[in-house]
Amino acid sequence: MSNLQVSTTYILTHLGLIFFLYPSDVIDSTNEAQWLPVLTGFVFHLLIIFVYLKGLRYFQGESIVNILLRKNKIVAWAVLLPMLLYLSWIMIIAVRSFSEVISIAFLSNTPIWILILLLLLVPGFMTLHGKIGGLLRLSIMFSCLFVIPIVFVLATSFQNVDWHYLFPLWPGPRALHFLTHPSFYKSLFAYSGGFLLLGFLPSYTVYKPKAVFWGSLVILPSYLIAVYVPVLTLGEESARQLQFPYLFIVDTISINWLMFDRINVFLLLSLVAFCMFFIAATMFQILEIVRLGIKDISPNFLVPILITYSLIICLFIPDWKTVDLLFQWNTPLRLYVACVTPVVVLVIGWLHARKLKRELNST
Amino acid sequence: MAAIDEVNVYFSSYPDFVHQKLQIASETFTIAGLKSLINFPQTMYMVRDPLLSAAINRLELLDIFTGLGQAIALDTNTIISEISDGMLIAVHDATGKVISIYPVPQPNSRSISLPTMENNVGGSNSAFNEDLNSNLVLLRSHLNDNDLRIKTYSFGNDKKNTVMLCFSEQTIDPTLLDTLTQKLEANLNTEISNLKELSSVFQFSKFSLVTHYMTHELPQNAVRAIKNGRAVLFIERLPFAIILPSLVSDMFITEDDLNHPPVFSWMLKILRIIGSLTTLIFPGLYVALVSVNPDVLRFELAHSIARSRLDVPYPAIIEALLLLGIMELIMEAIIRLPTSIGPTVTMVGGIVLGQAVVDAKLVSNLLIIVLAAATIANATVVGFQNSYTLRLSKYLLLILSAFLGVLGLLSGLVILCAYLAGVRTLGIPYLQLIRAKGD
Repeated sequence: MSNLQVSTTYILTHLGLIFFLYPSDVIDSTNEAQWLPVLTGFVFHLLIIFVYLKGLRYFQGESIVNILLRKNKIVAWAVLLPMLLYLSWIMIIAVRSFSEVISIAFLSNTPIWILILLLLLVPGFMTLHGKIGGLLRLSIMFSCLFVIPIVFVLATSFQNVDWHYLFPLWPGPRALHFLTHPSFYKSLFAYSGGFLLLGFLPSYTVYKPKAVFWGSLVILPSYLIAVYVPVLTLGEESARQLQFPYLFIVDTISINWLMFDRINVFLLLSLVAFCMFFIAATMFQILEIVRLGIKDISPNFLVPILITYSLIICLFIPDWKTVDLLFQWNTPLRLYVACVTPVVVLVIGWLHARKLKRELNST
Repeated sequence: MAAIDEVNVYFSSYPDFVHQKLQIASETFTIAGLKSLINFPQTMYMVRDPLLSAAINRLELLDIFTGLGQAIALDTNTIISEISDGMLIAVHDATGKVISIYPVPQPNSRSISLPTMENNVGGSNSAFNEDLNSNLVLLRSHLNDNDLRIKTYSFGNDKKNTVMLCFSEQTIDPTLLDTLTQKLEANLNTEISNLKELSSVFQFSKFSLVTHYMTHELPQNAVRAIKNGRAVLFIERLPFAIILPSLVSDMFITEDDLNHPPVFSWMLKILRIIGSLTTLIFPGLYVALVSVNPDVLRFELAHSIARSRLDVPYPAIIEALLLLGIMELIMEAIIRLPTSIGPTVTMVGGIVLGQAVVDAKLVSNLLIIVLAAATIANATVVGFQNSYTLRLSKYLLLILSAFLGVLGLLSGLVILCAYLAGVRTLGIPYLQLIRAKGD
C-alpha cells in the first residue's frame, strides 16, 4: 500500500504543474524537435531523484531536516534555508497563478482574493486535519476520482492534431541550442516541484525506490502530450503566441454527444484539485522544516500564520506579468535547491555509512 | 439467618419474588428467586429431583446440595445481587450454607428471526437479536475457528450491563486490540447501554461526520469483519453487532456480494460508488450550472434549463434547499409513521413534489429530476450510518457551489476527501479498503 501511496503522491504533485506554463516554456526554448528539451529535463529529473533517494536510503525513513542537522549546522542551513525560501516562494507562485487561471477560465466576476483564500484554506485544512498520512491516503482517493476525467481530456485533446507538424523529428545542427535559452531552465520547475517531499515522508511509509521511478515514468507521457498537442494542432509558430497553449487547445475541442460545451472545465477542475494537493504537500514541508529545524510550534498555530502571510504576499502581486517575473527570478534558487540538496544528502549519507562501518569493524 | 430475613424484607414489595421452604428427608432448604426471570416449576423440579434420589439412596444430602450450584457467602448484598441477576438462591437452614443455582430462565427475547433493518439477496437470513447468548450461538455457528477470542466485560456499578468483545487473534492489528481493551478496561465503572455511551468510552469526536463503527444485524457481516482483522462488540439488549473500526469500503462492499458471480458483484460495487457520487454532486452541480457557470453547458441545454426556471422567483440555491428540506422531512416522517399511514404520506409527498410544486412555478422541472436522482442514489450505499454522512455532506457541496460554481463543487469534494483521509478510529485510518491496519 505504501508503494502505491508514494507513487500516486509523486504523480499528483507533478501533474498539477505540467499543463499550464510548462508547454509555453518548452516551445519558447526551441524551434524544432521539442522532445529533446522534454527528455533532457526528464533525465535531469531522474538523475536528481536517483541521487536524492540514494542519499535518503542511508537513513531509514528519517526526515531530511534531521539528517542535515545531525552533522554540520552551517552546511545544514545552507541547504535548509534556500529550501525553505524556495518552498514558500513556489507555494505563493502556485497559489497566485492558479487563482489567475481560475479567474480567467470560469470565475471572472469573483474577486481574486476569494480564490486565493480558497486555494490556501483548503490545502491548509488538508495538512492540518490529515497530516502526512492523510495526504498520502488522499492521493489514492484523488487518483481514483480524477483519473477518468484527466485521461478522457488527454485522449480527446488529440482531436484536431495534424501529424505532419511532428517533423522534423531529428533536430538540425543547432539541436542543443535550447540549453542556452532561459526558458528551458524555467521549464525545469515542472520536474523539481515535488521531489523534495520524498525526504519528508514518515518512517512508517516503507517504499521501494522503484515506486518513485514508476511514478515518474507514468508522468512522462503527460509532459510530452502537454508540449506536443499544441504544436501538432497549431504548428510551432502559432503555439508560441499563446499563454496557456494546452488549455487553449482543450478549449477548442467539441464533442457532439457530451452535454458540456467546454471540456477544459474537467481538466481544470482536476488540475485545481491536484494543485491544492501540491500546495498542501508544500505547506507540510514548510511546517516540517520549521518544526524540526527551528522551533516545535503546534501546526494549529503555524498553518494559520502561513496562510495569512501567503495571502498578504499574494495580494501584493498585482498581475500575471509580475507572477511570470517572480517565476523567472525563482530559477537560480530552484536550480540550487534541485542540485545541491540531493548531493549534500548523498555525501552526508555516504559519510554516515562509512562511520557506521568503521564502528562496526572496530567492535 | 438474619441475612435471609433482610433479603426477604428487601424483596417484600416485589410481586415476582418467590420464597419457599423445601423439605427433603429431615433437611429443610429455603429457596428464593424472582419468578419473572426464572421458570419456577421446571427449576424446582431440577433442584428437587437430585435431592430426592439422594435421600432415597441414603447419600449425604449436603454434598449433593453443594454440587447443584456455586457456594456464595451468607451476606445480604451478595444474595440480593445474585437474585437480581436471575439466579436461584438455595439455603441449607441447618448449616446456613448458601448456593447460587443457574436456573431454567424465563424466555426474555424473541427467537432468531429475519433482520429488520438490513436486507440481503442470496445470503443467510438469521439475524442477531437482543440476547447475548443467542448472538454468540449465531457467531460461533458462522465462524468455527480456534482463533476466535471472546472477552466479556461487565460495565456499570449500579446499572449493570454486559459487553462482549470478539476478535481473531491472528488477523487483528495489535495496536487496535491494545487501544480497544485499554479503553474498555479503563471505563468499567461507566454504564454502557447504547452506542452514544460506547462512543464516549472510546472518546470518539462528538462532531465526527463519519461513523466510527458499523452495526450489522447479519452474522455473516460480523464474521467477515472478524476475518478481516476487525473487532466485533455485542452489547446486551442491542440487537446488532458493532464492528470497529468502520472503513470507507463499508459503504460499497457487503458480504452479500460474494454470493454473486464476480462480474455482477463488481458491477454492484461500481454502482454504489456512482450512487454515492451522484447523491453528493447532483444537487450542487445543478446550482453551480444554473446560477454561476451556465457557460459550461451546451447552449441548447443551458437555454432549456433557463426556460424551465423562467417563472421561479428565487435563486437556485433557495429553490434547491427548499425542496431538499421537504425531502428530508418526508424521509424522517416515514420512519415515525405507523405502517398503515405510511403509504398516504408517500402518496401526498409524491403528488406535492412531483407535479403540484412545478405547476405552481415554485421550482423548476429539472430540480425534481435532480432531487429524485440524489435521493434514490443516497440509498444505494451500504449501512444507514453511511447514508447519513452522504446526506449531510451534500449540503456542504451545495452551499459552496452556490458561491463558487463548479469550482466550489470541486472544493467541496476535495474538502470531503481530505476529511475522510484524516479520520482515524482507535488509531486505524478510515481510508482503507478491506483490512484494518494501523500505520
